[in-house]
Amino acid sequence: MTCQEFEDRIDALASGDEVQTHETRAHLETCHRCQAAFARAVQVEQFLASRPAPAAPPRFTPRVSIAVRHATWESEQSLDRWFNVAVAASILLAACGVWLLANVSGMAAVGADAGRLLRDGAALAAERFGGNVAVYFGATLVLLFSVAVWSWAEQN
Amino acid sequence: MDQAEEREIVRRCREGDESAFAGLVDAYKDLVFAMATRLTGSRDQAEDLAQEAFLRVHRGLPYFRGEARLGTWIYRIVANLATEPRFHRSTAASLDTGKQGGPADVASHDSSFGDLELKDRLEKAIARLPENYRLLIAGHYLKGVRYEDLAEAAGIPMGTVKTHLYRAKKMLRRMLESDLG
Repeated sequence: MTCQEFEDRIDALASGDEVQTHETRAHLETCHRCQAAFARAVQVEQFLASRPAPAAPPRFTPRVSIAVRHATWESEQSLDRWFNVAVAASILLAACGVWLLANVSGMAAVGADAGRLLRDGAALAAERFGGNVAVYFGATLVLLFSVAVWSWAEQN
Repeated sequence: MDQAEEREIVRRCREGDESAFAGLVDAYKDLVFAMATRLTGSRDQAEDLAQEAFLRVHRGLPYFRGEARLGTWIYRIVANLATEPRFHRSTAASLDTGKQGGPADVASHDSSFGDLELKDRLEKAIARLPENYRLLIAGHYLKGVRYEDLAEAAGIPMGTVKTHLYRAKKMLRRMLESDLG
């Protein structure tokens, strides 16, 4: 056995993953360099095995439980905030939609000729509704999203 | 804790049972704290790391599929946390072994001083190891941690775990020899 072959197995031998063979024993008996290296490997192995593994401090578990409760509360608060923002945004968009509808369809300017306008209003609104589809669609999406968030929050 | 117990505790935790989660923390806190102390070299940082690890465990439990052992999954969380800069170990850090020598004769005093010096050198050498080797060295000698667990946690074959450990120890020997001249 050469020194290189012994060196390749030295840590496995020191850790006990491999057992000494006749060859390794014979090499160790004759090679002072490998004897020193093996002694150092055993020293490292013993040190690693004896490294302190301190136990968790007392009251660690209650502290973790409090931290978990706090984190859960913060997460719920954050969810509530987003839910409120979504509801406010949907209400605002819906209000914008109504305002636009009232203005574009001319309903806001109803005056003396209200009767005539009201008669024609429905037809006019239907005709001009197409221009505001994106706003209504957006408002509906936000509304649906907020309902979905609310529903998910209720379930969890 | 066997696998049936693990499944049961995970199920109860998912249902929001706080006492089950406290039981889980109790079961793994010493392993996590020991690993965290070895990786950070400081009790204060270890406590922060261990607490953060259990917060992540709590957040992650709904997604834990049970393919790995719970301990392995927790080990992986600790290992990932340890790579974050806020938990990086200072190379100057040295673990306090908590063993203080009493009055002794000069020879044993010299011997224990030599041991302490050697331990200090080895701790510093460990801090200089590559990250993946340091994690394996930190986890390998903890009670109940097997080669299989390390392989599963690190996502590498068991043979590679052994090879990496041997290489890490070889590097430690080399560093120690160059330190000692």
